[in-house]
Formats: sequence, structure tokens, C-alpha cells
Amino acid sequence: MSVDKKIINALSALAPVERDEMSDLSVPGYTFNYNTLPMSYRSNKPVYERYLIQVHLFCPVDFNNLKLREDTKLALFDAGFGWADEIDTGLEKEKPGDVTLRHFVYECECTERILFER
Amino acid sequence: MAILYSSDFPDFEEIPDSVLDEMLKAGAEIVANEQRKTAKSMLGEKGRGDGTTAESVKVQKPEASKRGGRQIAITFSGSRPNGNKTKRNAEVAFINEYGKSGQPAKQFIRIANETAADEALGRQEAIYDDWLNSQ
Repeated sequence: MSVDKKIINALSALAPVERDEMSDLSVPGYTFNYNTLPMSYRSNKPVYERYLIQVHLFCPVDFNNLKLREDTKLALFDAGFGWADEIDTGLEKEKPGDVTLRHFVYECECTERILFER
Repeated sequence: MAILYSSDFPDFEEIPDSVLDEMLKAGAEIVANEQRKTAKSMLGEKGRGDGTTAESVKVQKPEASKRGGRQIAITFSGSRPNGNKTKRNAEVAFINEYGKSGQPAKQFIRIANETAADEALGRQEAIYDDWLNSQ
């Protein structure tokens, strides 16, 4: 299963998940992105990739986010990712409709074996 | 801002501050150089802001840490024009690193820190070894 699918499966029961940008700002929702670093070289090729993942939770300002934040970390951990760091980036004003959102970033990792086609 | 700490383990109290500072500076320079590289390659700043974030990466002087031991900070210093006002480079770097709901994050600081970690640790170990051998 791809890392994208793992993230979506882990979080979609909690709130809508989209790849890069939120489409509906009126309800809590997630976006995610990741970068990879090669590791464990064999025959000049990496055998594994380390995924540095960011999951972003955007909530309306008046939404009580305490439970959802706890559930987010637990869901990611249960899906096999390392326990996430939570960064509260504070309030953000978005141009479409001037909506103010609260933004939390969850940074976690996983390692996947690279499957080369032979 | 990234802060690198020296350890506050009791054994480390025997290491002079000058050696700790040298270790911190050496590690921070390696991390800062990597942050400059990823800022240039990942942020793709165009026009007037071209390369401003990369150039703003500065290693501060080591200082005493509240946790004990010594610490050093890597910061995005200064500001840039933003219409009739100015915008802090640290704010631009922060928004790039963590994104917004309409702007995907480009985690250039995290990538740089992870990429530079082994080299920085190796350089710091070498300085520590030199000090041990000189005793």
C-alpha cells in the first residue's frame, strides 16, 4: 500500500483528507505532503526510503479541536507511522471569504522498501 | 529558528565551554549551509525575493542554555520589502516550512536538518575526540 493511501486510510474516518490544498474551509480537514530521503545503499541503489511526512489539520476557530488533535496523533501511530510532533502554527486568515482557520502540523516519519522493477 | 543544545549530562560539565562552543559552531555551520542549499533548490523564489531566504540564514553566537550547557541558534535574519511595508524573512521561512490551507508546505528546513545531521555529528565528534586526546 502506498504511503498516500496509508495516510488517507488512517485519517479519513476523522475528517476529510486532501492531497495539497483544502477545498472546504467550513469544516475541519486534513492535507498532507512528504519528502523522501534515500537510505541503506546496496549496489549503488538505495534499498529504503525515509518519508518525512507533514499532516496539516485546519479547523474553524470556534471548533473544539482537543479530541481531534489527540485522535490524529493516535491514528497516525496506529497506521504505522512514528509518533507525530505537533506544531501549532496559530491562526491564519485565508483570502477566499476571509476565513480564519487554526492550523496544526503533525510531523512524522516512516520507512518504505523501494521495489525496483527487474 | 533552530537551536542546537550541548548535552547537560554531568560528564559534559568537564568539557570547557570553548570546546562545546567549537562543536556547536561547527555543527551549526554544516546545518546552516544545508538550509541555504535547500532554500535555493526548493523555494524557487523569483524576482526581487530571489534567494533572500537562503541569504538570510545566519548562525548566532553560542550562549548559555536555560537547560544547562550551551546552545546555538540558526535564524532567518532581517526582512524584505513587501509593498509599502516589510516582511520578516523568518515569517516567510515559517510559512514555506509549514504552508497554509491554500499553500502546500515545502519542508526545506526539516530536509536540511535531517540531511546534515550525520555530517554535523561526525564533525562534532572529531572536535570532541581532539579535545580528549589533548588531555
